[in-house]
Amino acid sequence: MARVPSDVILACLDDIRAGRRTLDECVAQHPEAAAELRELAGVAMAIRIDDAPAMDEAARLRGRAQLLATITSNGHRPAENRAVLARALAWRPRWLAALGAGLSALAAGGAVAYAAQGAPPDSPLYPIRQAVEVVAQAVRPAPPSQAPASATVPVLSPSSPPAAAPSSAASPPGSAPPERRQTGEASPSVRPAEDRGRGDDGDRDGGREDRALPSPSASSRGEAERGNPEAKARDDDRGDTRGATNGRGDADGRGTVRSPTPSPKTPANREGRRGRD
Amino acid sequence: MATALETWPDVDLIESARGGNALAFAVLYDRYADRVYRHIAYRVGVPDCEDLTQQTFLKAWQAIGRYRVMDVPFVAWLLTIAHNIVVSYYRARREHQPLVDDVPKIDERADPHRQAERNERQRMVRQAISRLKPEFQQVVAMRYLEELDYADIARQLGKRENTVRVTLHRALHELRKHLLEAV
Repeated sequence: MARVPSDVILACLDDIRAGRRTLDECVAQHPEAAAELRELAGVAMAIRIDDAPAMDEAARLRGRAQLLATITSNGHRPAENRAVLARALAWRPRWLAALGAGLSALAAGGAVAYAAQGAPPDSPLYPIRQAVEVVAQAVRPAPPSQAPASATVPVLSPSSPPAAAPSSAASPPGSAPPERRQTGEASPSVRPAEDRGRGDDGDRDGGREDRALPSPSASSRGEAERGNPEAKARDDDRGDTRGATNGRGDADGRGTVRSPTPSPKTPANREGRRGRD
Repeated sequence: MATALETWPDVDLIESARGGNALAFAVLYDRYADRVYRHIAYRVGVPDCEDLTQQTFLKAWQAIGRYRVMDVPFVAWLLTIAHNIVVSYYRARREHQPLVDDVPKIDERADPHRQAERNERQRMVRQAISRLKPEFQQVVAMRYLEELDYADIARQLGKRENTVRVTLHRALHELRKHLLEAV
């Protein structure tokens, strides 16, 4: 028996449902589909939306009020708004997108660099920390005490060797191993490891500055410690307030450049001395 | 404002709702809430029907920018959203026995015995429909419950008209099988 096309069957069922034709009329017109029409007519007639319960008025009003309250509150906007925004952004020039991408990359890099600030040596961020320190060292401007200091310290010793003066001036002989004095690292017994995480940056910077750019004041400090009475007198004139400044300066790694001979009476000076060592 | 909006055609209300006019969308709700409610009630029963109707309109509001007026009647689009919500509802509940606890309509003027028989038949049909696979359920509901024409159903489902007819034809055979099993 040939299979009856779906459209023939469905057209008959639609007519039966709508009352335009009876089942017998359909069977008479399509005798080849008689069996299937009889089977499916009952099924098609049984599906009536009238059987579904209607929404009562109270439920409709309640639902309307809830819907309005929801869609007028924040967080629910029709998609068209987003589509309009997307179209508007699509017309922006490409450089805006490039700028946005660049700023995003910069922010991400800054976040990584910030996170790497206190990274210990075994941390995956430690190489980043080192790289940041190198870059910071390269771009950091000279401490204000270096260039103008020559004006404030008129007497210089032209014969003092540039590399030797800071190291000899930075610490008394024999107070720390030479390699530690060169790098400017603090003694482990002085600072906890956490402090070295940030404080070392400053101290190491200060040590490098001392080594690479010997300042006139450091030279004069060396003279003072070697017993130059003029230099010692100048340092003494500046007094303990310089010592306090010196202690703070060590914390940021710049105090060693301009620090005078610390006064043993001032705790801040002692701290500054330790940091410098 | 609302009174004036009620006289607007669907197209204008939809355009206004796209611009963020919630009152225009509320008028669309007034027009179609009952049809959506009955569609959902037929498939999941009364207890959760109100909540699912709300979800349907909320989704419609969020997606109304994607509705294309020329493609399909608004009610067909709404019913497709309702269908998807019903499918998600069943998926979440992981059961397909939704109509057993449904409350049948009571016509006090009818013969109680005939009314009982009718209610039992309705319950069986709805349960059989709920056992169809979602694709069949959707086509049966759109054609026989919502009485959309084949062209609209095809556009809404992204299928050809003939494919929709074949799907409906198969769905009716499947439905008959479920009804025979239930008897």
